Amino acid sequence: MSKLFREAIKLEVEEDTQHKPIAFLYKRRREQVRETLKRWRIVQGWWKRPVMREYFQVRTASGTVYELYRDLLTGAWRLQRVYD
Amino acid sequence: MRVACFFFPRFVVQVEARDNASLQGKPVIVGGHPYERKPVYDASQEALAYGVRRGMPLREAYTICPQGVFLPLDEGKYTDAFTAVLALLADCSPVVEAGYRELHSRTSQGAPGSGVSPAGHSAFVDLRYECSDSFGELRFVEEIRQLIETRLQLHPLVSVAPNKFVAWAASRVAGPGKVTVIAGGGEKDFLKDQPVCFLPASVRTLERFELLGIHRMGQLAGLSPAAVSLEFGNEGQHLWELSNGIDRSRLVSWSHVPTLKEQVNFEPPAETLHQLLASGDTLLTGLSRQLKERWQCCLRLTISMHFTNDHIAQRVFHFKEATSSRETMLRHLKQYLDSARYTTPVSEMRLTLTDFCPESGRQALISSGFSDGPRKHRESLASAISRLRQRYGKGVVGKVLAKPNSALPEDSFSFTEFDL
Repeated sequence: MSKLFREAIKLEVEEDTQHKPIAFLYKRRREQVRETLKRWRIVQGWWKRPVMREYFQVRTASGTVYELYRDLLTGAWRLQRVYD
Repeated sequence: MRVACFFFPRFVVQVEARDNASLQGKPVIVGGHPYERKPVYDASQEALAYGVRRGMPLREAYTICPQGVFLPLDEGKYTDAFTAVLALLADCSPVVEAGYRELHSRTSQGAPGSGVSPAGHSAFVDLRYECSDSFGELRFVEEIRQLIETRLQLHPLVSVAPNKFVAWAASRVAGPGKVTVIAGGGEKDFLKDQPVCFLPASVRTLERFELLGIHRMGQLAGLSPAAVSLEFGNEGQHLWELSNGIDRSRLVSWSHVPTLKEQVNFEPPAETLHQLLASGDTLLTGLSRQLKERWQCCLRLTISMHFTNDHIAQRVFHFKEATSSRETMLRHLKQYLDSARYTTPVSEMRLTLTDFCPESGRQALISSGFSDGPRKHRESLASAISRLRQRYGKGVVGKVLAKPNSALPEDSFSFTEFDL
């Protein structure tokens, strides 16, 4: 089961030099990334709605799996989905 | 910060020799049997003296050292042994870090980049919580070393230094049964004669060091940081700092990953699929019950089969959805046993569950609650929606329209007005 946010939640993410997430704040709690399960990009053409995102499916130290993405156009991080 | 490093050279061989005293003093080669197409995972000092190296094919190791004792790789056993070490250290200090894998994997003897795991395991302990002076820290570390030797019968090389990297490098050159202590301010002096291969450098950078005649850390530390940075970029700057004894990294505290394990030994060895499935079912029933008692689900099931010819086969299943259901896990076990073609009887089967998460509800179809036939169901649904609309207004109940081909997750569905 997962919870998908239609309006992805803006996140404060601590990232490394290659823009991989190390930790992030969610619900006022610091979630330390333990492993990256998947990583993929979504690029959508300007004729629809210009989108360039890098998605990370990560498992945190608490055991929860999150799907977050970095908007490559703005550099902002957002939370798209939480698996429970 | 004062850090103690406990380095276990040839950890795997130490564990095997501990569990089987007859292996002491023999050339032991761990990784599999000589006829298998696998690399040498680890080898004892006696085997290394014959020229056996980690990462070399087992067949080659056999031609060099035919009298060697070849053992199969039992990763579960080594993980358990190292967890026991860390648990013992965690009893002594609040901050314990497991391993310095980056360093090991790049500087391991014989096979950098060969895909073989580290030869030695190391653990770091933050001493600032336990010791106030150098005598206190030495006594404390000595006590821990003796505890490891008496309780776990493993023999670490121990060092104490002002930071992680220096502690790790010092442990590599420490003598058995002694503690090497590097005093504050003495990091650079100690590192200057150590080889550059101790640095966590990429293989390419190490090759370039070799070409440039930089063999010792003192040579690198003597260069200007700007020149090193220009030649080797950010990596060079980091290596220059390390070779000068500057390591700002902190200890990342280790925490025990909970697991649930069940195993069965077959006497006589199991030869039929039916026997394996029946035992697997019993094990999974127990595991599922334990999970449910803890109100937890798991995401990973590891199946290990030990055969009578000393082979070990292991398979890890990652569940898409966390589960505690015996049926789901049994289905995976059956699928694995069906697909595997074994010619040798099985002497032992181990099932391990990891990656726990809280138990959660499952999404079900709204229609699943209606069992009186489609017409009755439609009427009940219409009446429920009508009541909701009266109470909360129009638009409160929507129908989800799935769009599976959508690239963006938020566009993968939309809500439309529910029309009965």
